[in-house]
Amino acid sequence: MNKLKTNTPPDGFLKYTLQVNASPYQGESADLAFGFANAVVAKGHVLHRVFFYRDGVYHALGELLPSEEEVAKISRWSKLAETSGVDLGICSAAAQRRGVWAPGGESRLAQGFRVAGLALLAESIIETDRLLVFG
Amino acid sequence: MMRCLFVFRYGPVGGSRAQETFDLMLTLAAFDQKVESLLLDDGVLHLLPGQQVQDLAWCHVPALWQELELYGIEPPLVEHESLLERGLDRSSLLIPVRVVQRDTLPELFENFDRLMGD
Repeated sequence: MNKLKTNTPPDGFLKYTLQVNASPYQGESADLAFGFANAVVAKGHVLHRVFFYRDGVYHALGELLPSEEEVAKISRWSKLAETSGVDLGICSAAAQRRGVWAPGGESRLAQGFRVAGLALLAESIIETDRLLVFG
Repeated sequence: MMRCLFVFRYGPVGGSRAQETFDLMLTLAAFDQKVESLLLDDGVLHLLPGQQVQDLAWCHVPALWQELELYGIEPPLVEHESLLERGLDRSSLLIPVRVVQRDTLPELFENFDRLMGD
């Protein structure tokens, strides 16, 4: 269960949305996004949502099984969602286009991820103080 | 109202980049946000007329640009130098545009709350 948390940052702090367009295994954008997400939380800001769009939707593949010596590029997001309560959304159209998800296929998704529409990203872009796009 | 500028720097073919950027742009416009676009570098190639992109792109990009007006989105901003470097000018483009000079871009960006790339 995600921890319940307030979505309004205290005075002097900001509410962030991250948009991740890069796939987990191409380039360093996904790693930068994860590092930034952790820094936002560590500094006491509100990490409102991470929205995975375009090739970023590959982050939600629950069946990816990297070897144990490798960085856990999927499950580390699931853990962050569990500890910080951040909402992990993936774009339904982008996910369907790439075979990551089909209607009724939620069980294939990695823990903590949920399918949403672009409307959710639009809402985040409007509501948050800062939007950062990775990839 | 949030003022959002979408900056297109890549050409129109070779993947879903253009379509997925458009999808987000039109979603924000549907939420009554102020949405504008800026074509830079190879992004200016989006507006070349006579493109035969059916087998190369995921969507018919020129048609998307022609539909912007229906969504209440102003004609795109196009960087003068990017056109010049590619032997183009505004009269060679598919739709009317607003040409801006490179050295005015920092000032232009100040007018927006959100900048997003393609």
